[in-house]
Amino acid sequence: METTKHTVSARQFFVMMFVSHAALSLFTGSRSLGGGNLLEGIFSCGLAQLVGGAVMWPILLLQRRCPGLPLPQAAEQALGKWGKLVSAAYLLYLAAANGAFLGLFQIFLQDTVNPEFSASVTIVLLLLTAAYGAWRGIECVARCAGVVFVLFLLGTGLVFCITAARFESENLRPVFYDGWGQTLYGAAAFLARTSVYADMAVLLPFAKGVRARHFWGWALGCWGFIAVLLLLLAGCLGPYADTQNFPVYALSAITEVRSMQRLDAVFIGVWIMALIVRMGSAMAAGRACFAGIFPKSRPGVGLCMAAALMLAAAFATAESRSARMFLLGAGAHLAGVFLCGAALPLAVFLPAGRQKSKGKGGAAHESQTPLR
Amino acid sequence: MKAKPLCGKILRRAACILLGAALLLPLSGCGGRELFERLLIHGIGVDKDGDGVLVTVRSSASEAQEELFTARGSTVLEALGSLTLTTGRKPFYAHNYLVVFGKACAADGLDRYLDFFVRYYSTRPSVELFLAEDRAQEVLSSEKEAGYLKMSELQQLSESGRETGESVGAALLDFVNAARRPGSDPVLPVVRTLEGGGVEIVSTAYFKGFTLQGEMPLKETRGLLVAQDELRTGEAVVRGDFGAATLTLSAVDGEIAYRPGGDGPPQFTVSIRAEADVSAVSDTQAVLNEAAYRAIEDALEAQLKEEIEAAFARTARRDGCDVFGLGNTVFREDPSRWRTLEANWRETLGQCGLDIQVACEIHRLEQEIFGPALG
Repeated sequence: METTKHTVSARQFFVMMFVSHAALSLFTGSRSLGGGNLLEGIFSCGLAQLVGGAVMWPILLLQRRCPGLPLPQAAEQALGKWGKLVSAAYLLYLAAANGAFLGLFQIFLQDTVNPEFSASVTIVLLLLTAAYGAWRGIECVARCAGVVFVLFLLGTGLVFCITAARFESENLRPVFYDGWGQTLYGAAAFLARTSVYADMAVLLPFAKGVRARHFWGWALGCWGFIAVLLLLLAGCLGPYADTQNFPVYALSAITEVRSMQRLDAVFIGVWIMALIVRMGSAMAAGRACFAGIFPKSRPGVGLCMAAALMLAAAFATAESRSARMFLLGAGAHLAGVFLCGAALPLAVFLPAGRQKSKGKGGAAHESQTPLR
Repeated sequence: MKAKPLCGKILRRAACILLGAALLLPLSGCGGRELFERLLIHGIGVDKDGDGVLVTVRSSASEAQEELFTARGSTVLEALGSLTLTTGRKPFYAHNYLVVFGKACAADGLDRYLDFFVRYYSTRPSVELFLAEDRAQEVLSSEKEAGYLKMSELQQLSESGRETGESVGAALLDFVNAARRPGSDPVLPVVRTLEGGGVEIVSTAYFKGFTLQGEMPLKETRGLLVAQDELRTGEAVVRGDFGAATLTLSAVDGEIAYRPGGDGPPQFTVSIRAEADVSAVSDTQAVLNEAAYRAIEDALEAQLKEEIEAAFARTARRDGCDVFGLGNTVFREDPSRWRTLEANWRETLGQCGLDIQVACEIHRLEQEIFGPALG
């Protein structure tokens, strides 16, 4: 059995996952949560994280059964040639999901920041930077994530503190006023956007000493961040948030301190950094999946393929309405999360368990892996 | 251990520097235009003009001077866009301080004129809104000291008005929220031009949703601000046996509490606590005694109560406008009751009971510092 060298600690890994997940909070708003009561989004997010724990369970079980073995290799050992299909499914999902979010970022730059913004150039550069990080290895992306984590918290913390002065309790709506529908829809929407479960499934073997408490720490941290964000959106922007496509961005412009009303550059810079980490980790995962399909290919080829697929998905999302409807649809994303987060790891876990019980697993040994 | 080739190291570093620099390029701002190609807008006036709109725009010409332009169009954006034809520059709204609407726009419903400022990418939610007593064009054309009145000064007028406690301030965000929140209506300061130049705030306009319903004088505006806990400071003149006392209000706290009130209309209690200093007293002895202080307190309490009652009678009882946000209080504190009231809230609002309790304390510095001998 091939195992991977542990290249990052569990803490580094989940910090990277936090930044990857928090990067998508830019797209949080009443339109994406299915209703105008943003406070209910706090419950939705909590519920999504709890369901996420169940989704994550097969991944953690698989890692316990085949410690250190990358998922593509584990799939091939458990399912034979069918295992390559598992790797292909992950590669496609990672490219489609992350490309769609990158496309959404491009739409954000053109729709809300400035239509004259050279958004497609920014997307290409962002992807190139992320590809460079992924090429240097998961450790490089994780170290970068550590720095971005601090800058992200400082940047968003600055915006949060400045805007908190405009918090008005009159803007808060009673929770569950219109029933539970919005909360449940919001939970599904949050879960659909948690494509990092696929990243975790592929990249977890490269992290050392991962325990369930690390995952729950990550889940709690993500929930806390989103909860504060939603509370500020609800209390500071109020019903005005319903009129905005990207209300999180509008939040940065409402301060009464005039010199602080032009925080756009800080804001966009912080989010670009977080997206670089997200795309970097997704590309590292995509590269590992490509190596699972074509074991003899050069590492750079897998990386280029993952980057090309993401770029294609990003441009399709930004330019084509029908592609946008499909790639940004909550249903497709939710299916992807359950498939790559739970169903496929379970499909690998069950046969792997039988093989291990028959003693076919063999002794683990360290070998070269597609990730440094 | 195998040494890494030097050219590989150099390539990696070069790639890092190039990517870092390239990522900064798209953030260089202004959409690739030079500053002189931009019309840096400081203030916008919107008037109804037949079926279309007339916009009056103030933009910066230099450090000290501002320019004035007007343009017509079927919508606000079309009119503003047509400025490019007369100025040769593209409008840039991120530096805009304020928007003044003509009275005809407000009577027509501001939502149809306001949408541009809410949706357009470079407009700001913190921009200040005003209502012109007649036409916005007059306000924006106002001159002062051999030049146009600067828009930053007009914006300052709103802020200083809030300091004196007789003017509401309304950012775009506040106005939209007050209009869209359940059980709540917005207000705007009304401005007019002065004969000698400049502008002044004359009253407060109140709306039913986005449509102008009426105006209340500045004294009643203070009643509204006190009840909403938005009065920061201000001056009040009270009269009695002690003469006329000018008081400087400070530490004013206002709170509106909801009482269900059984099957009838909801009841509300407005509790006000205020502190004040005696700044000037006329027609009296040099030193105020305890009885005079108490009389001043009573007079101030009566005056604040009267201002709140007058504002409520005019806006809620007469015109059915919930500028106090009473419905919103019910919505938040008793959502199930709000379900039964929501459909006919404007009719119910005028029947709601408003119990106003004011407690004022005048600082007795003379007594405290110099002791009871002077009391």
